[in-house]
Amino acid sequence: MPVAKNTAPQGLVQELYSQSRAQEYGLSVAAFTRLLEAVTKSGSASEAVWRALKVEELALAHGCVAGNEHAWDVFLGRYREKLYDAARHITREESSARELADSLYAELFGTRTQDGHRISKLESYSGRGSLEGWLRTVLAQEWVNRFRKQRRLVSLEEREEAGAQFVANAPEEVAAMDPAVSAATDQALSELSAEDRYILAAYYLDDRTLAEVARTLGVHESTISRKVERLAHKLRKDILAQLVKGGMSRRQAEEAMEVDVRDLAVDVRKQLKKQAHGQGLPAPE
Amino acid sequence: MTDTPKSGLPKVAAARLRAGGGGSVHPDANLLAAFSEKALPESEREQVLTHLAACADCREILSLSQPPVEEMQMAVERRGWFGLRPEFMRWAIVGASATVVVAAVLLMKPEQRSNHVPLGEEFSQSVPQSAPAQAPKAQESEESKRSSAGSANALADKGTKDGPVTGYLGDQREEVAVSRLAKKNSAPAAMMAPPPPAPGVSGRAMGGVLGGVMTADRLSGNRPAATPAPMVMADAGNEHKQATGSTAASQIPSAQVAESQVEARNDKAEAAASQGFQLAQAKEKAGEKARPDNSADSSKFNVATGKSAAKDDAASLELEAAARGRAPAKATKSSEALTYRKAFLDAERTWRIANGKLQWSLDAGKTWHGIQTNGDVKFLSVDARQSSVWAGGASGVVMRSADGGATWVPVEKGWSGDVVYLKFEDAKRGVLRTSSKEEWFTEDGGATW
Repeated sequence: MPVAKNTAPQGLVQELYSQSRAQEYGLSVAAFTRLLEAVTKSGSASEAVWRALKVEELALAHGCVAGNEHAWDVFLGRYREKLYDAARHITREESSARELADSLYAELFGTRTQDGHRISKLESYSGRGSLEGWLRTVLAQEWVNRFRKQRRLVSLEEREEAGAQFVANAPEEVAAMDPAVSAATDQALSELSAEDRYILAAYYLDDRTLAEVARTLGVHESTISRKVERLAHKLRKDILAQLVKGGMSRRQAEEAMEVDVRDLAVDVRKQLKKQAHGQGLPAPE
Repeated sequence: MTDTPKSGLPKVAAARLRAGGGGSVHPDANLLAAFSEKALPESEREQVLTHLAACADCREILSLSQPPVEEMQMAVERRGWFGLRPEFMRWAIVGASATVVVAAVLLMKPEQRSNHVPLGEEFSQSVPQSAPAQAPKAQESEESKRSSAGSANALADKGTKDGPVTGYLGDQREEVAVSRLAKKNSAPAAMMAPPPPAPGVSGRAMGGVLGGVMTADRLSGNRPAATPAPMVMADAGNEHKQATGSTAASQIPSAQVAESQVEARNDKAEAAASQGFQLAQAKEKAGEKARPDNSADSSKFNVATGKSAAKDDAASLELEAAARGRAPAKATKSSEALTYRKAFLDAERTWRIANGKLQWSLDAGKTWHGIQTNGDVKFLSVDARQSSVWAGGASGVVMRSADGGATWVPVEKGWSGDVVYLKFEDAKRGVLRTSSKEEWFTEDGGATW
């Protein structure tokens, strides 16, 4: 039942408060109420939404934010090893895993302060998903967005220092796709659901296994297998139909569908190499 | 697990998919985590998927943040098998069950009935962090192999409020001693072990321990070699059933397993077993249920535990019904008292190392299942003698299983380097060689080297 102004009903608050063990973690009812109302955006707040929150984990996280010792004891006891395990799973390497996990711990603990208030990353946990899932996601984000990119940069810097020269990257797709083909393809793709497009992207572009894709969606692998096959077939059929309708012969359409613009770009790079070589310049990578 | 070759998507489609801009803001960790756990309302889920379809980084983050397999609550497809609505599935199963009764009866041999093991504790409603089950893999009949699709692989809906139901014994469970009715009159042991692999009762109820591991191949479409289908086995005529049944009942909180109180009576047990068998068969016929998805990249070294969730859908009802019915255990050749683990161990199992991964097969190498490890243990050598399996890996890692691979313990006796060779010439004498040219011997089965 929608509630005006994002105000949690008292009865519900009390119920969730005792369920959440917030008192144990040093949170007053008022603080807990503010928490409930803060994590749900105005307009989307409802009893169902509040009830769906992981209130115990929410209280724990915010107890930690507030510096409650017991909350930290519980948190570390519950998540310490899981965090390291998750980091290992992500980085596939012990030392990076340690680094990643330790870095996150520092952020969770809050090494920065603002106005005397320690800034902890745990403050942003909203309780919509499990705290464990949130921690794993934060770790993965840190890894993808920060650590991994730093490694690439370091690697480049090292190579530069070693004397390698770099030419600016040649444009990836110098040759634009035939507009009719791209329009037909976009049209066919737009007719798929977001989930279908995600499945295709994860499977074909990211080269994930059926099982990996299935896992992210919480479905059976065979479901993904069937979908992938069906979707690829449907796309092919739809794009073909569109191109033929636009005037291409079937054979032309089939060929056009299989043109990879990256192949064209590679040719361009070859040309650049030839030219550079002819002029005595360093060749492009 | 073998994926089909990645052909089929027109290159232009791949290009346009790649080029499609993310557009929307990257979902934060709360959204992604909630998405993973199916805790988002449909509209938000759609938004996240739209972004994911166009953002490779976020897809990678989502993939990397997946929980370890054995802790994952496997989601069942809400719509049931093959997209059929749950109601249809129920009737389909009921209808199909009639056709498998005869098969079940024919397959059941008198001595097998004493192998029925009450489901017992494995269906406790454990929290998501329930310990990885150490339930052994059970042997199974041909039917159970096929029915493993639905059976033995509890799938939990992450979002379920009922929580996951562990279909397999966790490490808290006790082994269940099941005696053959004809041979022994054993006292009711703690009948808590997962029953022998019955033709998969309710796959949902059956946490696939090895469901975790074992279903890896099943997921890939390979016929499962063996699927422990924890089912409450009605031990026809066996007194201990009563004790175990009631014990089992008390241990099974979930909606599914609540019904799984092993009927202490022989006739009921048998009927239930038949029914369960039928249901299992029906499930098999109806198609595959979502099973735990277990890819190799998971953490714990124990066999993964699949978990089932008590859901309000037909699958739950099916599970309830299945839980009531218990399929007979596969006939074992041994006439001794069997534990579920022993039943598991009796299965012929071959082992291999593939790309540093430890794998086993129950069908002479047609399908392989992986052993999940905590961290990235790279295995280099394996030796198995019946139920005793030794595996050696990089950096001196040696793991040993006495129960055919269900549970493992690390062994450290002082060697260094990669364990590149491990071989036992008999139960007592073994040799271990490492990459640092060390050679170690044991003459007491590995206790000392």
